[in-house]
Parts: sequence; structure tokens; C-alpha cells
Amino acid sequence: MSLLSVRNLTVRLGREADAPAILDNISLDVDPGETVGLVGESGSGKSTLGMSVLRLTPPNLAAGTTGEIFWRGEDILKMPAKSLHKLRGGEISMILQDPMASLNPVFSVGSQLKEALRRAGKPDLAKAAEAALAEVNIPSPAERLRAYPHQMSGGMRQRVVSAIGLAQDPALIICDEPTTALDATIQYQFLDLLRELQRAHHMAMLFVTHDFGVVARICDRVAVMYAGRIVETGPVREIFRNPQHPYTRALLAAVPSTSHALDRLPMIEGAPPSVGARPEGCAFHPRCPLAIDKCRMQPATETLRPGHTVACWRAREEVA
Amino acid sequence: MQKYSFYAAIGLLILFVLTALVGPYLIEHDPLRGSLRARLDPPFWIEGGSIEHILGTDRLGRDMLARLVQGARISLAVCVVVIGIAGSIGTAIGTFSGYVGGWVDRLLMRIVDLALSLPVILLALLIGAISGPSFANIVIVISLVLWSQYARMSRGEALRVKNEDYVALARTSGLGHGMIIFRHILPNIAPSLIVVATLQVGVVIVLEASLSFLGVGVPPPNPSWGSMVADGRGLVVTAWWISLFPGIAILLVVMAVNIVGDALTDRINPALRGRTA
Repeated sequence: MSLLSVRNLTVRLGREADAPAILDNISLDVDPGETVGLVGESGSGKSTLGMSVLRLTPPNLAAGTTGEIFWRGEDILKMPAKSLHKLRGGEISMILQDPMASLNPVFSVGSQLKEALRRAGKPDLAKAAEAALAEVNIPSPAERLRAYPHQMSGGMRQRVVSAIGLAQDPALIICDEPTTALDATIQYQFLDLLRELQRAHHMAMLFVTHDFGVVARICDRVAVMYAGRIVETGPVREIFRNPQHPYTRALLAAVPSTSHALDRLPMIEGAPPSVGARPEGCAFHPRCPLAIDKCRMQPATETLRPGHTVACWRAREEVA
Repeated sequence: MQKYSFYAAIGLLILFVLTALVGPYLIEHDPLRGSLRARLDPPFWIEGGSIEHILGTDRLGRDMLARLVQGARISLAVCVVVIGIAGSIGTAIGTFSGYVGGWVDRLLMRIVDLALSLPVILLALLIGAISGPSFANIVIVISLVLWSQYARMSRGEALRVKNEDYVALARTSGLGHGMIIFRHILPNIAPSLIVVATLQVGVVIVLEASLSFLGVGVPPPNPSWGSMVADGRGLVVTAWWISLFPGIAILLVVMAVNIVGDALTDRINPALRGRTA
């Protein structure tokens, strides 16, 4: 059974049935110990999906949420407040984009880490906190516990944030672009660290990003989102080798590479549509090089190979 | 230059607080009892004055210095109590309002607008007329007027802080609303509130003095600086010292408080520069 299983999740801006949808009929599974990447441009709804899983969307979005999100078979959207509190931080935790903003500036990192460890019921807080910092490769952890967030670098803070996230041994960790604010070398260090931690704790990860380079490094499976829909999912290898949706291909083409020199990176013409003004049918068709008349109707999600699905009218033709 | 005025102001404030705390024990004269034989004695450096009453006496023969010192104690007491009450009520309402948002926030902020529009003096005269002047009344009146400042400030700050990532993370880790307010919101808005409180010390002293001057403040025979100024009003030509010294005391303390408050504002929160009480 999957750990997390999202079924037909739709999140609208308000209760009305015709309110614009930020997420449109999303279905996604995360198995224990697996890393699933969620890729898409800004505004494609990937962060909203992450927040929906914890039921932490703003009230107007919460009112417009339909569908199901199963956690170990239980629907999170129908969970009583008490189990929800146990879920947040206990079984599911989160790492956010900006390590500068993720820590409370008025308390030392030790005090914030211990707060999480206390909730986890660790007996010797001082020792546990030191061990937690050591686990995320922070040198001289005992001294660092007394430091304040502003005394640390971005990479170091993000590691502290992950130590706090791991304090309660979650089964799933949602990472919302955790490397975007870090520079390239630190980014890779941090990704490697995350992968090690994931193996050590046997966690699943839902990794929100817009960077296919990051996906390649850390994910097992990937779901590509565009304008609130999942347009293609599949194992990372499969998606890289055999991308079917034109949007996936365009994204992959935009990843800088050292193997072939380019003057300019290829880009996708136009801009992603805003939530209120999404085109009929396949939302990508106005920007799609392969668009045909049929694309004005919403394509069904087809399974090309086990685990590889795509929602595009042209996909089948290409394979054939 | 600015630095010197800051240190001078700090020095003055320390002197003010020390005077209020230990002053009354160092002076042998009773601020409430005079001797009619020593009525309207001038300060000692003027002919007819004596070293017995350094700053002279008022029209009931009470020692001016003793009354000034006792007045400092009353001013300080009013400041501490009012800022304590108005600060905690205002902060509680403002933080709650900003954190919860929605219609609760709109409703509470309209009440704040209402409180801001209350005419202080009129309100004080009303309450004074109904229940007579007393320490409790003056505290209630000034608190009624000042809590809204804290509510405004803490609401705005709570709105800012509640959208910080660390608050979002606290929520993702299952922290309750109470814990989030006490651990994440309040500590981060405290600096701005301290600035407001400092700047309000001057406001409170002036308000207390004005109300006492009008006779609805601290009831006689207690020496409030404001009522002392009022006392000497009719004799200002012949016995100017009765009004002058408490007037100078008000001026110095309020100025010192504002200098320190401004310096703190610049230090803690440059965005607030130039906004006073």
C-alpha cells in the first residue's frame, strides 16, 4: 500500500464549482522510502499540493478542496484535529525554500531544535540535539547549539532546518524547493545529505522543485505539473530517456548541460497562464509546438508503460 | 552631539527613577504637611528664603522640594501602571486580531479606531465628574486612551510575523496556535512594542499632569506635578517658584524620555523613525 495517495484532488479558489482551480484533478502516489519529484514552473500549483497534504492551505483554498488524500489508508481531508496534529511534524514534516526565513531569529538553534525533540519525547535533550546536528554534518555541534540563526550561513541553516524536520522521525518529508536559495556547490552537498538521511531514516520524500538537474540527482519518480495538472509521471530514467509530453521535453531542453555548448539556453515561448485564465483543454496548447485542433479538449491520462503516464493527444502518435 | 544628548537623557531618567524610589526617604519634610508660619517662602537664594526650604514653600507652607520628589513618585507610578495595563491589553488584542485575521480583525480594528478617536480630556472630565478624582480613575482614563496604540502596532507586526516561514514550519510541525503566538509571534514583535512603550512614558506624564492640572487627576493633597503647577497659577507673579519647578520637572523628564525613545526607535526599528506615540 502506498504511504501517501492523492486521489482526484482539486483545489479551487473558493467554494463555488466554477471558481478557478489551482489544482485540477491531481492523483499521485508516494511509496514508503521513495522520492517523488514534483516539477513545474512557478504557479503550476506544486507548493499548494505540498501544503494541501498537511491541510495547511489558507481558508479560502481549504473551502474549495475536493478529492481525497490518503495517509496509510486514512483520508487526511477528513481527519479529526487531533490526529492531524499528530501527523504534522510527527509523521510528515517539511523543509521550505528559504533557510534565512525558516528559523525564528530570536531563539538559538539549539532551543528550536530541542523544542522539536521534546515533542518527539527524547529523554536527554542536550545529547539528542547534539547528535541531531552531528547527523546533518554540522561541525562542532555542541558549540553550534548556542548559535543564533543569523550567525550561520544559508547552507548551515538549511541543515539545521532539516535536523529539526527529522527530529520526530517522520515517514514522509515534503521539501519545497529546499535548494533554490543555496548556491550550486552547497546545493549538491545538501542534496547528497538529504539522500543519506532519507536512507538512514527510511523516509519517503516529496520533492518540489523546478530544476530537472535536482530531480536527476535525488528522485526515483517524477511528476511534471503544468497549470494545476499533472501532465506526465514516470520513473526518472524513463522521463529523461523518453519524455512524451511536449512540456516535459521543453523543460528538459532548458536544463543547462556541459556536454554540448550553447550560446543561449532554449526557452519555452510565452508565459504560463494565470490561475483565472487557463486555456480550455490542454492548458499547454497555446505554447506547444505540436499543438493541433484536438488540443482544445482535455486529453485523458494514458498509461504508456507501467508507471509512465502522460496526458497529451500527440503522445501516442509519437510512439507509434 | 546626538550621543551626548542621549547620555544626558539617560542620566536624567536614572535620576528621575532614583528620586522617585528613594528620594522621599532622604528628605525630612513631609510633602503633605506645611506650617502656616512658613507660607510662600521663596527659594533659599532669594532674600527671605532659607536653607531650610531649598526650593521654597507653597501657600500652605509645604516644602516644594519634598513635594517635587513625591510628585516624581506619583508620575512614575502612573507610568508603570498605565503602560503595564494598556500595554498588555493592547498587545493581547492586537496580536490576537492580527493572527486570527478575517472579520475578527476588522471588528477589533474598528474598536481600536473608536478608542483612538476618544477625546482624552473630555473623557477624563466625565469620569472625574462621575466618580471624583482618584489614582484609579486617572489610570483607567489614560489606559482607555493608550491601549489602542499597542493594539495597532502589535496587530501590524503580527500580520508581518505570521507570514514568516518559521511560523509556517511551526504549523507544519503541529504546533498549536497558542504556542505559535507565545513562542514565535510575541518574541518577534516585542522590540517594536518596547519602543512604543518608551515613547509613551512622556505622553503618560503629560496626560497625568494635564488631568491633575484640571483637577480630575491625582486628588489633593497628593503632590502631582500637574496639580502643583495648577496650585501656583494664581500666584505666578509673586510666588513663581510654585509653578516653575514642577513645570521644569515635567519638561525635563518628558524631553529625556523622548530622546531615549527616538534613539531606541532608530536602533531597533529604523522603519518607525519619526513616528511618535
